[in-house]
Amino acid sequence: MKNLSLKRLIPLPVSVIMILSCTGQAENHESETASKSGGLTLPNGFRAIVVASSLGRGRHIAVNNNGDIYLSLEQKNNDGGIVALRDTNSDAIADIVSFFGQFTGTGIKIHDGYLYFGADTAVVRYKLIEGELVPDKDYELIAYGFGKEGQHAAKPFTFDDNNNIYVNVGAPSNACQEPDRTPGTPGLDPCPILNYAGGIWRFKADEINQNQRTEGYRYATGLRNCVAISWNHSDNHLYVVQQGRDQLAQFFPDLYTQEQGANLPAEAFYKLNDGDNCGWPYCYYDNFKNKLVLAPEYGGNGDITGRCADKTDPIMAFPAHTSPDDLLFYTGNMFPEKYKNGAFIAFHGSWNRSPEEQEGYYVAFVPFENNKPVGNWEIFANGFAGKEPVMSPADAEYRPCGLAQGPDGSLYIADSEKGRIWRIFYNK
Amino acid sequence: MMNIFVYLLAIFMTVMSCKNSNNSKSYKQTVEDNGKKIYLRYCYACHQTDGSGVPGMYPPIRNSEVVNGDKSRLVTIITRGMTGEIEVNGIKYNNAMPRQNFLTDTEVADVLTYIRSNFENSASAVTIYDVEKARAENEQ
Repeated sequence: MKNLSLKRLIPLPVSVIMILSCTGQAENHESETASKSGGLTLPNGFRAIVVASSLGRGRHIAVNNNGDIYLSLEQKNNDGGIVALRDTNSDAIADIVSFFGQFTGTGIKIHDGYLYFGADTAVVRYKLIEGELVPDKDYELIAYGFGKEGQHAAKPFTFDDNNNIYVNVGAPSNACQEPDRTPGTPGLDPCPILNYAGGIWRFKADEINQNQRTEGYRYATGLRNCVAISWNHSDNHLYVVQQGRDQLAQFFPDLYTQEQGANLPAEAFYKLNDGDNCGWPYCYYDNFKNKLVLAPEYGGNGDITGRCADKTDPIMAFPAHTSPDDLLFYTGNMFPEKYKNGAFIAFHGSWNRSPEEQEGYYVAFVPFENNKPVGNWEIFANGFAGKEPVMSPADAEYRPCGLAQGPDGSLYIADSEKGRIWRIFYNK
Repeated sequence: MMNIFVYLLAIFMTVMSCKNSNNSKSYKQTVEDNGKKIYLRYCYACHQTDGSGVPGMYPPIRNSEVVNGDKSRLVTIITRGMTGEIEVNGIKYNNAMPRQNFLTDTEVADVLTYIRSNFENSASAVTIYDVEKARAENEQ
């Protein structure tokens, strides 16, 4: 089996690239020129400044119009689940750092004068106060009723232009086996999890106390966990990158070699429409065969398509297990023209490739033209792990998890391991 | 002459093999090898080949106070799985561990012994009796 990740540095002949780009599955390569800055490797002309470090276990990040920064935390630090940061002398380095917030979680965004926060069992919002860094301490409950889950509990979200909020409700499961992640057990059919998770739920952005079960609308289903979720305002569609299922080789050693288990399935990038079904847990996307394949828990043999034939295809596929954790469509004017309306994706990095080398631990860029990905994706920022290869996730010093765009068009990247924030500038 | 040589060699090999089978190191090695085999089949995916776990998801079994601690708790974690928060070396984890109750008592004992004597851990072996006892306690 061909290992795409090892071929990152080798550009393919143009003809092959063109064929592959039809399905969005393409070889990728580092930008031709690269420079080191702020401990990161970036394309030439870009530089990184470390805004702050040691903030805790960071997740997602939001930047207000005045430049104030908000970082969500996975575990409380200084008794807060959110870190607020302000640069008072315009050197990009945070001068004021405040911890607040009753909850820990992932999703964090500013919308309509509020700081929205995705606690793992609810979405809440805090009113921003003019001139103040820390918002009102009292929160309003926007959406609730999500289970208290032991896996894929993160509740990242995004807003459209019609007062709706779209919330990822990750499946608390690998492939809907009962019991979960146990060798030889079949998948539940139908998978009952899909009634309340494994999809994207839509709520009103400004209505309080919406129960997922009664007021939530299941916008798309068959999505295992989409921590990378963003509305693309240029084509008015919801986009997500799914974290594909794990452990094909560990649970089905007769069907998959260890190497296949490390390289399957793809992390799939979807453009979603109302009612889409992307196939989890019945299907996964094979990035070598470029098709949806029936999962072994549901009678698949690693090749047959079966009931997956009518499921939504991704617009692009990324290497297996790389763990897409955030998605951002770049709308700023600071970066060169090729970045405009393209997608940045933070790949947190794999764990389920062991004992092979791990993969990911970088921020990728997908160029878009006319609202479609064009050509190859490329690695935009790398070097977070501080060593290569990464054999175990604990080897990585930093792991990119959150992305945000500043009012000036600079790009913020948040790390999950030590809570470092970088700000990326171009030609400045 | 050749016959005598073969004869002597046969005696020598018999003596050596008897010696080996009575050697406690050999038993230890069997447990070690079996424990490692089970670790590399059922455990390494989450806890990693070097035992370092996955930060924020799966706790390390490397240099771990839990692994070096109470045996019956470890048997319970393996055979019944675990949900809810666990603190390992001062860091909290909250992912689910699937139960591995298809493992035999010997396999549970061997993999625990392997883990407790590798990965910078140093704790006593877990015997089949320890596993039987903990499993019986769990069923009460």
